[in-house]
Amino acid sequence: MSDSEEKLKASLLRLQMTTQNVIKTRGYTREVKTLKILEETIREQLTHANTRSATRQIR
Amino acid sequence: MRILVLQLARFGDIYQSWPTFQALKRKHPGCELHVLVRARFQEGMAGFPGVTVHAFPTQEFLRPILEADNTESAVESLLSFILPLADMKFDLIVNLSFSPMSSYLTDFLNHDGAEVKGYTRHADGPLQIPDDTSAYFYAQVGIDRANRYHITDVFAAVAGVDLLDEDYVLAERPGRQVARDGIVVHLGASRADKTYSPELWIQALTALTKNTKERIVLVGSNDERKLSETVFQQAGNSRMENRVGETSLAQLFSLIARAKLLIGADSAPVHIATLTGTQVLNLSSAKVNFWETGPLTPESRILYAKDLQHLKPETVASHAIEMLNGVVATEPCFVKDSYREPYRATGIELNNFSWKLIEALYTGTPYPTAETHEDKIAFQRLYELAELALQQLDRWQFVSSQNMAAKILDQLDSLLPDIAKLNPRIEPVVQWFQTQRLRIPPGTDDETLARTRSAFQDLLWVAAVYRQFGNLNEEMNKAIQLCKECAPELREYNFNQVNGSFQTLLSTVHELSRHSTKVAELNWSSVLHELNSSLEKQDFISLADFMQWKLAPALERTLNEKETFSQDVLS
Repeated sequence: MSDSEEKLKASLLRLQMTTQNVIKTRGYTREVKTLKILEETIREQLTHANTRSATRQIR
Repeated sequence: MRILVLQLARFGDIYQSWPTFQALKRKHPGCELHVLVRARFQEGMAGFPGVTVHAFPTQEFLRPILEADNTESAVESLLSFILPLADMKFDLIVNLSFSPMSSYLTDFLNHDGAEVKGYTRHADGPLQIPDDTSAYFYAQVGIDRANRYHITDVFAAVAGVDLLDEDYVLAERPGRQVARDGIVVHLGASRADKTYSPELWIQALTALTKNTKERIVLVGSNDERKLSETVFQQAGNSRMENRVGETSLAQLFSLIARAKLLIGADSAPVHIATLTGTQVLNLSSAKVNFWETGPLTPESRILYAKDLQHLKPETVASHAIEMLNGVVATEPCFVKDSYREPYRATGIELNNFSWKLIEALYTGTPYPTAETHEDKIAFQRLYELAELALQQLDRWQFVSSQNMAAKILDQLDSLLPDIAKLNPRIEPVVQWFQTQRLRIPPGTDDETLARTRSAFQDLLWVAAVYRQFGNLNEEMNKAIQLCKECAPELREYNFNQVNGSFQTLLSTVHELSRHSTKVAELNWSSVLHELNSSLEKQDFISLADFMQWKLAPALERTLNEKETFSQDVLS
């Protein structure tokens, strides 16, 4: 795994934990939406560029 | 009116969205059209007049993470881009990206008074698919799927616009004043498995140059230089020019716009050719779904082989020559007759079952005949599964049964994809059903239960179309018994007691209606309407009266008439 990929994965984990904490305490807020956009942007980098067919499985 | 379209995919999808942009501008004269694309692909909007392009700088957002492991700065960077966008308060937001990220972004940009089309999120976070076209995309579009609607048309339908022929082509085509000349060949593709091998290109181009005097220009990206040099060394001549890695997108547009023909696999130049009205000879394989992303210029052709390397180079050359000479196809291929008609198979036998299923599910055309025993078995399994699910949902009212019912429903959920895996021909039905369930919005337990029941009931009816139909008389007798069983309980308002029987009656009536138009003096459609509307109004007395005094006697009369007729014939 490359250094960049490791950093992105670590960041994704941190973001997921933060997002869950915010959802638990404050619900699905605007802050959560922002975190989710970044989370998904990172996830796209970890798989491959955003193609249509890659997105269907994920809710 | 201020409109934002999110198109966060690659060049190909950006070009295939241009007709939608043109139609949106026509539908909303004077509108302010904004398009959000990824910074990496923003050049794909160059040449489209009258839009404001916003470039989503993915790398900029990720830089704090990659350089300093600083997630907080990444969030700040993202906010500095999306907050001003949200402040623009778009009246219409059209998400053509179909990705989780775009759905969160759409939700972020949404505000009271905005109309949203395409993927977004519900108020509590889960994916929301507000329009039927996006639901269709979710269920049916993709490689290995049976979809035959072109993605250009799907994009337009999501945006709520109708495309005219002129929307598919650039009004200001470069070089439109001069006659078309020469052939442009794109050797590469976005992925190696979509690329025709250098050896085959050499043979195809050698055969082509022997039979035409047309000038040939090789085009492609910098990454494709090695491939082009290999091909050019072997097949090149004085009439061939290698411009791979040397052209900007604007120059590529210009070259394709002036050409008589483009030859290439699934890639951006094919979509540019649609916009410039240039005919295409498209080399396609199972790695793409050409029905969705093939060329749209009339008279374009698609040569298909499951494995691209199985396409014979001499076939490629002979089709190209035929197209240049305006000769109809003599060898198997798919032909585009007009912008809005699907490709026409010529010399190819197509299996249409799964596609016909899609049409029946979404457009109400008749269901196709099950061709194989495996198809019938698969639908039988779906029927049984839906029936069992409905029984479990009936048990839900009894708290003591809920645990067991939940376990069974979970198992049924996991069985569904297995049925599709065993017989991929019926996959469209499974995908359609699962998407319908996914679209169930957040609500109270009762609302969710009712919507889940309705989804399974729909699945039952679809599967019932293919269910092995027993003896007609037996089914009529069964319906009579069910009427008599349900009516007294309905008069006592004990609907829950007979809910299961009532659902069986509905599916039996559905099946009977496939074999005749009437039962005695009643039309089957009016029978179904009466049953459903009384149920909807929870008018159980009317429902009981109809079943006991109209439907059951009509069924009995029909049975008696059939018996008398048989006796007359025998005597």
